[in-house]
Amino acid sequence: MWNEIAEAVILGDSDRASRLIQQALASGAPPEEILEKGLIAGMNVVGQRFRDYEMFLPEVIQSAQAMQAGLNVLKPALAGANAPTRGKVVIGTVQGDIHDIGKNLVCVFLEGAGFEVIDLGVDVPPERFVEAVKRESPRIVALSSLLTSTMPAMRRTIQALSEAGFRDRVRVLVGGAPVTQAYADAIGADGYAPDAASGAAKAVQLASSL
Amino acid sequence: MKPSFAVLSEREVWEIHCASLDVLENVGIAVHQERAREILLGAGAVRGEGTRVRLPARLVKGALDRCAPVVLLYGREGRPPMRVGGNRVYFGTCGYPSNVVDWRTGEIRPPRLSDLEETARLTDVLDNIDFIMPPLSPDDVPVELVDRYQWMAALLNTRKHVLNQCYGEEGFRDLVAIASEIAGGLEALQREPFISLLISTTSPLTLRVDASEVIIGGAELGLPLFIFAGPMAGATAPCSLAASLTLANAEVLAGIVLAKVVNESVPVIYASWARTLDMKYGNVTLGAPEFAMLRTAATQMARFYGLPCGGGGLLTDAKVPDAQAGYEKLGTALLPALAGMNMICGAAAYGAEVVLSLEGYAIDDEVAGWVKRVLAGFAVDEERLALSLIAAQGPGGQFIKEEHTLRFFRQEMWVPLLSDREGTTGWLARGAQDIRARARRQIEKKLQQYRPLELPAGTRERVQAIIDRRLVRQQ
Repeated sequence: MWNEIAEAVILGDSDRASRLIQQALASGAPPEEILEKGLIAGMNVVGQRFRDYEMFLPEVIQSAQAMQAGLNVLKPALAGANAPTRGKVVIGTVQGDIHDIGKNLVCVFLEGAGFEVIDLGVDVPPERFVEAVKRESPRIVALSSLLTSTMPAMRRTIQALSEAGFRDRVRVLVGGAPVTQAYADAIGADGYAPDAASGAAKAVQLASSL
Repeated sequence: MKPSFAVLSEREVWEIHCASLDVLENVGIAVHQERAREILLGAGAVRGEGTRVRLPARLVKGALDRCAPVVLLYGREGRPPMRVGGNRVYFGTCGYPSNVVDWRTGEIRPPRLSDLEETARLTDVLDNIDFIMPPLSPDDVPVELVDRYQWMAALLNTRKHVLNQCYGEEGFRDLVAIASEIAGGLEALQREPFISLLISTTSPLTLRVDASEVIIGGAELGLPLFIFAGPMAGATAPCSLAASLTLANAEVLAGIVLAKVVNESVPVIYASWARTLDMKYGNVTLGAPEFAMLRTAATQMARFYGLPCGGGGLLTDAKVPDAQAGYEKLGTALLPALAGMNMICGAAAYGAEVVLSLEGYAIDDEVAGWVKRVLAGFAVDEERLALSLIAAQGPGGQFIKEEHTLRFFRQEMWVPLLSDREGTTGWLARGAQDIRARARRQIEKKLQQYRPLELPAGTRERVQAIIDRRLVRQQ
């Protein structure tokens, strides 16, 4: 049964993944196991195949959607079982920047890794990040920027989180074409990743460090 | 005959045209600036939902009827203008890499204003580079004024034509002030515009406020507009090349309509950066075979409309001038050139326009020469068939000493500046240098040939003052 669920995720078949999980729940399978051995196991294969050039972004997105569809079926049962989840990520492209392709890909990989993603969109001012952190209590705040001219808005966003007293409650992850590890260190971010897939891996690592 | 290349049949050109008009009339384009919307509505466009404006076919056709097939882009100090149109092909740089390879040290680092000035000087002396789009965003000037510094660095250091962006209305006003200062007045600038305005649509199907501001401002003054669309197939356009081409075409036509409604005699150039998304990295790719085909197809569309055209080409995803750069740059330059793309923008750019390498500049000057040689084709006539010479020499003859060889070899055979054709022994004896080493020597040599522009005393200071005034206002 786990293999079939994993397979539905790998093939990106949302309907099949949802149906199989309903069946699994009806037959009394523990929701944590459905999550771990079915959905997450499937996404792990997807991640590996993506790294090996066997699967590509449109297919990975399809798989992530299947994972999310399955997760939606599973959620009520998981909440009851008090299962550990990865938690929430608040993500957005920083103020002054309207580029979102990279950020959207990061969302896909974060969802694939089991996070609940709250996407604030593009051109997000620092105060909107602060509000979202207050409202959603995420583990991770992820900031994206494509332009050298908007990188300073990352620093301002991190400062705003500090001033609002939220800095210690979240881990801040930054990324985007001009961003480097050195820049991330300089502005006081907790993590940096060069691409979407490693961004999700970094988020998993940061979330577990909280 | 002259060699040529096409990827669309006549029938397919017609289909793309019809599909584009269908999109403009029935989907429409979001025009974010109210003034631009009102201008279009006043000319017969139909109000759609929100900021959306639908453009009926007759409005588009009316605008196209008012376009000239050749646009003159001027240089300075007696340089003959580029006559953009027909089968002519010109090469230039493209914007706006955020890294530069320091050719003296090999280090990759953030660009400074001095790098941009040096690039402009090199543009001035390279034979096959005809125009400059300031190919760097320097990080040692205020970010909101980068466009002004790009204009200044180019205009004070090269005689060749400058094509550049403006940061909206204010950027445009400052540019007009700077260029008028250099031209000796606005009228002189309008008479022989040595600048043209780069305008980008925002795919899919959007004209941002700043784009409309520059189109309207430029059209009012009659300055040449280089309007391009760069949808990414698979991200900001459907992944099929036909749909991507249709969207790009529709967006450029919308920009042209706005320009022509404002001023029917404003010169416009149809340009394209339509490209694809790499499905592994989620990056754009500018060295892909699809990029070369999209440029070729866009060129066919422009020619169908009788418009001068340009766009990205001579480009690569490779970060340094390596073998990948070699084949991608040749492919993305040669194929559009064979289709007749008039302005090919990409010299010295690497890493999908994120890295600028001056040694690459010398290499691309060479690639441009290679391409131009192919474009010239070769003549087949009595003199060149040389039958009497063949008969006279007969079997076992020699031709190196012949008058015919002396007379024709420079026309028939392209003479490279950088390419290695030496014998292996000599090459080894001379230190087995690769093209990058030869390119660095070439840059040094070329930069020594540079002579400063003849500018009236105080020009530099007055231009700087225009920028400083804006800086003060912003603070």
